[in-house]
Amino acid sequence: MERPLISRRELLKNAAGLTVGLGLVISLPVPHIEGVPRTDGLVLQTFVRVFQDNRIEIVVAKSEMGQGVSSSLALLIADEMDADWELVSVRLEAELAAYKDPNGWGGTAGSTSVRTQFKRLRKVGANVRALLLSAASQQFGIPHQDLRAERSYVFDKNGQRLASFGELCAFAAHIPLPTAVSLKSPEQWTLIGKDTASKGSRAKAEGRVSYGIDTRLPGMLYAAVRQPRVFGARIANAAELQDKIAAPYRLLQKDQTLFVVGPSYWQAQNLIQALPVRYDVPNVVRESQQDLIEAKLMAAVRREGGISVSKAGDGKGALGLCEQTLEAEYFGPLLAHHTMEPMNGTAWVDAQHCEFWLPTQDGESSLALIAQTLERAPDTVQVHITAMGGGFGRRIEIDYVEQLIFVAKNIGVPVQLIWSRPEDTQHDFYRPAFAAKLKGGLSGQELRVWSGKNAGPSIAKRKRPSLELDRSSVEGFAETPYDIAHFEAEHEDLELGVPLGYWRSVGLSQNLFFTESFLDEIAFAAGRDPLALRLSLLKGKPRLQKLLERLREVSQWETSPDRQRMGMALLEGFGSLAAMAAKVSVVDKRLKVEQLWCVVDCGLVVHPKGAEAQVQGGALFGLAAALNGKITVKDGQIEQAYFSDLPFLKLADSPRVEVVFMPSDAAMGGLGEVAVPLAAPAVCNAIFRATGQRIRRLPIRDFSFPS
Amino acid sequence: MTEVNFTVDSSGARYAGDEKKPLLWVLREDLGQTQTKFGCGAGLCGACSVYVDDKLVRSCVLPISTVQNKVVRTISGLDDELGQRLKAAWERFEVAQCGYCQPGFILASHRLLSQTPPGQSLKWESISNLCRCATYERMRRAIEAVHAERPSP
Ligand code: FES
Ligand code: FES
Repeated sequence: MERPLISRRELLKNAAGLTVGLGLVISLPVPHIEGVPRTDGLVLQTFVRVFQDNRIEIVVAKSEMGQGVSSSLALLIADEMDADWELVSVRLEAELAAYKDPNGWGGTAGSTSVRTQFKRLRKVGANVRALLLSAASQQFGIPHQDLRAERSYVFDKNGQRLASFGELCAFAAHIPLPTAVSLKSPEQWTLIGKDTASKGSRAKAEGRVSYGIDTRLPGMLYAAVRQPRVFGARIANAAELQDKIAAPYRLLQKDQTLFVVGPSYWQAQNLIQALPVRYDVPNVVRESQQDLIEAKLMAAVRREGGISVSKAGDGKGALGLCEQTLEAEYFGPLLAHHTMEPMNGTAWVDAQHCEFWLPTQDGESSLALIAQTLERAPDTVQVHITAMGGGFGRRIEIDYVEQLIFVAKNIGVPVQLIWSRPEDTQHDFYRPAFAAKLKGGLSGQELRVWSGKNAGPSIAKRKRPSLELDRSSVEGFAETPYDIAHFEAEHEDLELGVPLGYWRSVGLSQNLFFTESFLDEIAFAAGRDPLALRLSLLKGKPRLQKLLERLREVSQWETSPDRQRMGMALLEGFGSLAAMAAKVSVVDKRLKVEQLWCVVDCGLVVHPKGAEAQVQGGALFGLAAALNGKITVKDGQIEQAYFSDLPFLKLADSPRVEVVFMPSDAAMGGLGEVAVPLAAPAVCNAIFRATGQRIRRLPIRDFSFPS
Repeated sequence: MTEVNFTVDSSGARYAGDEKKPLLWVLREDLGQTQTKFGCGAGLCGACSVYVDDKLVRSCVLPISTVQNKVVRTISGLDDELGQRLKAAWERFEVAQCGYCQPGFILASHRLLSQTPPGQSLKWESISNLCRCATYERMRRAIEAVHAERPSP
């Protein structure tokens, strides 16, 4: 249920504080939804501003971290408005209080933005168009139905141009709002599904985008951060540290975290680095070693039992009846997010101000935390969500916001807190390490039985300790797209003593590596082509079959002279379907991934240019992790610090990526993550075909390749 | 306390302070110029790339004392013909995702193309910058397009 629109006139000011024109703000007020608690003071709105000079500004209610959400969502509104896309600007920085999705969580994650907002934002656009047409109707005395809008102008039925949206907006502010507005049919779309340009490409190329870390305020100080490198360690000599820092720098301590605050971040970082901090290290640290962690996970998957998460037919019981069985064990390491822009935030907290500039995927929780910590009413807190240099799930966490609140409150002047790169690497919330053991049973060339157990820590239990089964631990493991007569999956939850979090594509990031590698092993054991085997297991699933047929074509799976160096993988997840083929070569003992092909069926593709970028980037993000990604633990601390320890993909190593979308009228699926989990199995399967070497643990760089 | 006089994108700049302070932080903190980015502070990612005279450097590890009387060119001042073509290609191919690394990549691409005569193949290894959004596919297409546009001798 949505209430009618409201509109009001507003004086708009440019950055220099000059009044530049009267604008019409048309906003969508929040309907109250049963059962959803309403945070007082949060006015939840999506903004469309039409200016007298015919410019349009759209404020989007999501966090932009490079996934293109600002363009995708704005074009939904603009299309229904019949706006001229060239005249539309999308505002990245906006006050949190001004907008929020009334239908749920205000954060940005899980490839859900376009899917959940599709109808709602189009309605906003359609309402604005109807309002402007009503204004024109009254102003020119022409019946509404004899008017039409096109590219930000209103025309009469003879094609005579009557007025621009901008010219109509002052008038529109005084007329009642139209009701029962209908949406365009897909053939009428001018921007949705078309080659609509993304917003902001130019500004990014010119370095004109202001990220969180670029926030500048009058008299702003900087805060450097030092957290104990060993998890659980405590500062032993706090009293001795105070006089090591001289004015104008100040030392602050919150629990086990130290901050040095002063006029230069560089200097503050040097000072904090040099502080002779001694730590008491907990005893358990002896056990916090990479080999022990891995051994613990492997032991768990070898053990009988665990939570049974799915079963079909006779499950693993049917293994005994098979002519041929095979089994394999896999391991996926801890991974870090490594956003290019390190964790940071800026705040101004004093008697007059309570304002925060945050590169966050969860502005809503940030705002609630600020209000609660500072004991203020939420409507007296301002949170600006800034552009961010990558998110990938890291910025769902608000640990750095908590630190910032503390520092800002104690400092009382504008302050920007910045994590050094080693802090960012060593205090991440990591993609959990997981192991799996899989068993398959064949009768002749047919796969009859599939049984698997995976083991690893839960992400969700940190916040919900009583949770019995964390679905994200078994997504892509408890179920596969394939029709297998006897199927069983089990899971064991283990604590590893390392902070864990959501990493782009979450559980599928490791589980798909396990399942799609194992299916490839089965294909080899059965003497069958991996693509043909998959097709035979997808009877009655025409969308998936079509997807694989298309992959076969675009990758020349059967006809390429390089087919013996190719591998593939398939995924069903995030509401979408995707498949990838990879081609590799080994020359002079050096592995090279030469090409990736991705075929995606996500239903309607709202913004093809942005969608393609997400799949290209996702595929390579996944490849970087498969080839090089790992975080290891030694004596209770993370061994890696800088990019030198984590050589993720560089331009020269990056394969060509071809992306093909399959048109389909299925429900819309997500795009930001689908390609990520495919890279590891597709590439490892290609390596097997090319070299005979089966890679069952990541990253690939830990292996060497005879030529 | 050292005094350093230099030029940033055709404006004069003056710094007085610790001579070891890296150029990156002088730009970002003392001059309020945030277009040059902080990624690692250790010379490993290239987000902080700028030209100093004609040399491409990683400004996070370059002490300010070394730019005395020199000309620093950031992404904002990269407006020679090649720079303009690169920025236009970046827009046309929609290379950037989060965009954070892109100023550094455009500078690195500028150097690569300046050093590659038209018609010769590009040495991709010479760009060691990092892009976490992994925009490499479009980046390469954009660079190739600019390279191909240049008239052969
Ligand atoms: S910030 Fe200078 S190389 Fe990374
Ligand atoms: S575009 Fe995000 S790091 Fe390169």
